[in-house]
Amino acid sequence: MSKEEQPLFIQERLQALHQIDNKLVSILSHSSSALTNLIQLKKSSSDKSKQDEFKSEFRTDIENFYQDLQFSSVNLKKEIQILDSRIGETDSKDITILPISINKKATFSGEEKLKSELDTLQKLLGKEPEESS
Amino acid sequence: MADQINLNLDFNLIDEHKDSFLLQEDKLSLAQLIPRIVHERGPFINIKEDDLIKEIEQLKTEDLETTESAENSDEIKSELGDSNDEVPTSQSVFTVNEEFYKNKNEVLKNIQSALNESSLSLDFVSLLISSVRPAAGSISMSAHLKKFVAPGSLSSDKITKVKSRVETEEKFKENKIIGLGWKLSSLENSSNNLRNASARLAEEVFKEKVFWDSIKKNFNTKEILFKTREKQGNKRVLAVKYGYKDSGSNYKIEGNAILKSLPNENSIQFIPMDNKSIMNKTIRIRILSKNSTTDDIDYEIVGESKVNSLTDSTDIKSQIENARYFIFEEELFNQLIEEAHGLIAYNVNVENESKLSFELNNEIIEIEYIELNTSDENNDELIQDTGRSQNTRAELIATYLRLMLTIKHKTNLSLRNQIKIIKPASSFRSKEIVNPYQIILKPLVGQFRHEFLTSKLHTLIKRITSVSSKPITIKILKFSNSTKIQDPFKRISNPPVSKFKIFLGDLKLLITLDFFDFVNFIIHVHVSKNGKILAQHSFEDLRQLEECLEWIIEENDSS
Repeated sequence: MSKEEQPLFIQERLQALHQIDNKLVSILSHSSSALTNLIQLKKSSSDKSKQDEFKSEFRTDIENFYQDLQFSSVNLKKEIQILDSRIGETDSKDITILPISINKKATFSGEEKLKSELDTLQKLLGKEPEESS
Repeated sequence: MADQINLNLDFNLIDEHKDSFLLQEDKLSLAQLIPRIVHERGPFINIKEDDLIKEIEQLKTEDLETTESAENSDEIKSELGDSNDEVPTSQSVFTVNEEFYKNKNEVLKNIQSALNESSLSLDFVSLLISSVRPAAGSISMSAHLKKFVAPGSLSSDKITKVKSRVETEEKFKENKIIGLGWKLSSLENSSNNLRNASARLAEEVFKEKVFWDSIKKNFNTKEILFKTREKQGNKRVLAVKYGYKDSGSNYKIEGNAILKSLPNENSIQFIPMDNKSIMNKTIRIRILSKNSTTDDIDYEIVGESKVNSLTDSTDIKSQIENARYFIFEEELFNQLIEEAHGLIAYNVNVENESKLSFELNNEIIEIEYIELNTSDENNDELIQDTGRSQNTRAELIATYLRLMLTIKHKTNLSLRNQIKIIKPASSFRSKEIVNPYQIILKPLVGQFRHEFLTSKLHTLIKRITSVSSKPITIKILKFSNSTKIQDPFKRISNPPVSKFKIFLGDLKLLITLDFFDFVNFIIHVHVSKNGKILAQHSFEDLRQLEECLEWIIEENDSS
């Protein structure tokens, strides 16, 4: 675990959720493009070759639509499952997800301040030891 | 339709007609007259008697003129015979009146015919409606019509044109085409809407990613993030705890800040939730020393604590760090000011809302709460210029103050965590007072006073004992009560006690200087000879002590 970053597990989850987000957005864009192709298909009913072209495009659009839908629904379920299975368990890095949300306290900040002030004191005293009180 | 409709006036159709608007001026009642005067001449305030008299006179002269002119100028009359308005003569007045009445009658006739016409059309419509809605129709019907025509006797119907088969088919086709068009345009619209929505959401997703990426990068598991809602808009947001509340601070500002992604930039914003914005102020200690070379009381800065320069605040992490630093300083200074108010009797001055100072025998220690941005450069220069001898001491004082606040927080926290046993109110209060780590400035002031008084007492004792002929040994036990305490915080929080052990031959003098509440002292003197107690007394004044000691030494010498 890098000291400045969130643990890897959380990073992975964020990444996965971002992917699902993207897919959900692309579902919309695919459906939009499918509709456009449908319009074109109806408009160009006289031109046979064009119609075929639009048909194949429409098909790929619909395929993509379903693929994305599948991906997002499956992965969302997976994420929920991962979260469910992680709750209450402690991983190798000593991180436990609790089943309830608790109000965590930022108790570290006082300790840190104390430590940093003690460090300055040490430094100051290191320079001039006769100033001790 | 004919261009003109000639309608005969049937006065029986209308109620007895009378022109109510033509009033006889002479017969007007006062209630009618006054509004009319007001209408013609404006409010009564503007009407003056003089004006009225003048006006009447003018009218009279005009009348005279007109009559004169009527009498005198027959020729003019004949010349201007056509234009009666310009120069009215007695004859022309008559013709004007005639004309007027003619026109009036004309107008009345037209009005009556319009009225007649409209009531006729109203009757017609009423009759038509009465077949469908009898109630509604009969209300607006005139009495005359009701009398002669039975309601509902007039009716109407829509006549549909009979269409041919071809026509209907064409119509059907047209409708179908229109329907298809509607469908097509709706499809286009929905496709556009979907595309727009996806584009918008893609942006949103990108923003989310930026937000979470920066959270991912900048926050470790240590920093506490929590969900909250915005004050405006009630939007769900993440917030960070930057204050010391959870570490035990009881300061009024909790120190929470919202993390918000900026709409245009690829970074997150740090917005403190307390309405007050974070002040970039820090505490600076200055030691001023009395300048002995001049006669005037002149103080010179001999020591100054370092002021941390501001770190670059664009990064969210350093923003939090800065906020954390400044909230600590703010609380510390508030605490110091609060304590200083109780210590005014002991040379502690609150000079203004951002400065307090305390005076020792020949130096002043200033605690300032200064703006960081403006003065840090100057400070650096000043320090370099003089290379002050007591900078480290000032720095130590600053560090001491900060350390004490962290200890205060810590004790608060441990008190908070204790299982609270309900105690009687009195004992609870006494505990509050006893709890040593709640005060910061007082121990410091106490230590200085103690130090000062110890040295003063030492010189006093040396001076008095020097007259004695017996062999002298003086032993000083500084902080005799706290030498065994390992914890430095406990040591500083214990009121200091120092002891002087003086041996004058057989005589043993034990002087205890006790600062029982840090700022006030009491001196116990214990005199014994060969294990026998000779005297035991307590003083609160150095002068009395001096007299007492002098007497003891005198007695001892003479014995």
